[in-house]
Amino acid sequence: MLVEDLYQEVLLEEAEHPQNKGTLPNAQVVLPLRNASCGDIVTVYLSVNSDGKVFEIAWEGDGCVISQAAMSVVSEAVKGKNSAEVSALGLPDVLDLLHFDTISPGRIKCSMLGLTALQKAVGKIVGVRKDE
Amino acid sequence: MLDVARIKHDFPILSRTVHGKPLVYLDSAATSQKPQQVISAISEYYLGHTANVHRGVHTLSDESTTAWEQARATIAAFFGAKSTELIVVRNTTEAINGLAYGWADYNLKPFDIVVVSQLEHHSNLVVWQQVCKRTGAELKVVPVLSDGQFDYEWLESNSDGCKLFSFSHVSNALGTVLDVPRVSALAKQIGARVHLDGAQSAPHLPINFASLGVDFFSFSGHKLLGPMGSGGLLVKESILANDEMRPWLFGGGMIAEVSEQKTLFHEDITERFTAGTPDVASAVGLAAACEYLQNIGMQKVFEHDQEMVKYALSQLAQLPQIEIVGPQEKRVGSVSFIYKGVHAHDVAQVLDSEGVAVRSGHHCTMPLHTACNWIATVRASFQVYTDTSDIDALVLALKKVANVFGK
Repeated sequence: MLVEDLYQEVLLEEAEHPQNKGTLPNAQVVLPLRNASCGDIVTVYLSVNSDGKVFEIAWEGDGCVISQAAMSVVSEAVKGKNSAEVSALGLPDVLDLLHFDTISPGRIKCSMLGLTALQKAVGKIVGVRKDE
Repeated sequence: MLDVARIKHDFPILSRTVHGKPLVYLDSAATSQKPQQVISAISEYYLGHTANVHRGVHTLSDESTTAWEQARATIAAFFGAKSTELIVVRNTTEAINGLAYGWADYNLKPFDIVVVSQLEHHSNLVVWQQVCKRTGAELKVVPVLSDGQFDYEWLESNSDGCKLFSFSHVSNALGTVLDVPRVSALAKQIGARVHLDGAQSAPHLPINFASLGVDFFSFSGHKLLGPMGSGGLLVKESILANDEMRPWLFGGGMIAEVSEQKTLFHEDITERFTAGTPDVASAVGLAAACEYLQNIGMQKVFEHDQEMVKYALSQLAQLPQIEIVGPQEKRVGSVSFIYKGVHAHDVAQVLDSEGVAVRSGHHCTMPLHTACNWIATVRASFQVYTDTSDIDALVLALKKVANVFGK
């Protein structure tokens, strides 16, 4: 993959103007996740409705273009999805959302940071609901 | 001046290309490349002498035992240590863990103090956090000054009750060099032991363990042109001989006598600290690396490193987007920087597209990056095969970052 293909205009634009970036004061779950190998961080704020579907989402973060753009597109894509649907997403879905055919092994963790945080956040809500 | 053109010729990998561009390897602080001499030494061992050591009376076993012992002697001599003072391990991390299990667990008690600094690699921090949990000792962390220097005055006024100083000799993230005489004089005064994490100093500085003034010195062979998975822990002979340090790996080879319920350990110190079949080939390879560096001369190796550091600092200073982090002088092995407005991973990815290999991230120094408020930095690091053309290639590739990101 050429570096120009990796850093396409659309990706740079996504990182520059991220979707759903911010906080949710009344979020049901706040979940920070750090990529231990590079220090990149995202914090996901999430609420689900009575059907268990994501209806409010926001995130904050700092990191490379890939991790931040991936967090942005994934945060938009999970709206209206229930926990099983969010949990079923994987690297191919993230790459699709980023319009990538492939990604080098060294950048997989960057791509997956946001989705992993979301999946952990959704899992936490499910846990809370079961406890109730 | 080193004849770097000739030296480059000894490293077969340096003639390969990456993304169609000649490889410019500036990640030697993570691991160095290996000269043909090292690769050949390992092949020759496997091709002609493979057998277990100290286990047989046949010719191959004798040859293998001789290769192992000669390799140990060469490695120890390279560091100005006695052969009996060298415990062969896989890397610096394993050496520090050995120091923890073999020395700290027997010598530290509640309220004793272990001191590290904010500059430490995680391997010289996490291990001591665990030791403190096990022993009840307390961990103190020397702060780093704004110019990336170690705060000696803080150490001097906080040294009461310290039993161990464990500091990186050269910082892997900032290249900061420890003033060893100052630290060891203080340790002597208060009766503390000193461990130097030599992962980043051993590849660049002449080391004489006999006169260094420290009790323990750990190093990674793979960072000084040796094979992956090779390294060592040097321990003062007296500490090993009087049982102040004890074996932490048990099993075959390290024993004198075994009965069903108890074991007498080997009297020979080297044997006592070598449980199981050693990695003879790696030791042979590391010995070849030590010989390679010795033939150049470690003083010359050091002077060459200083030329590279100075040149890199001066060239990078000309790029307005680059902010150098860490000391501007008295810096060894590497230069780290931030490209304003572009994350270190993204910088490294663009550099890779030009064949330039650098390290990006927190370099296993999260506390340092947190204290300095850096998410991640880019590090270019050097070896005997680095010359100014490599640094010029880095600077040229950095200009592509501006094209890609418009910054």
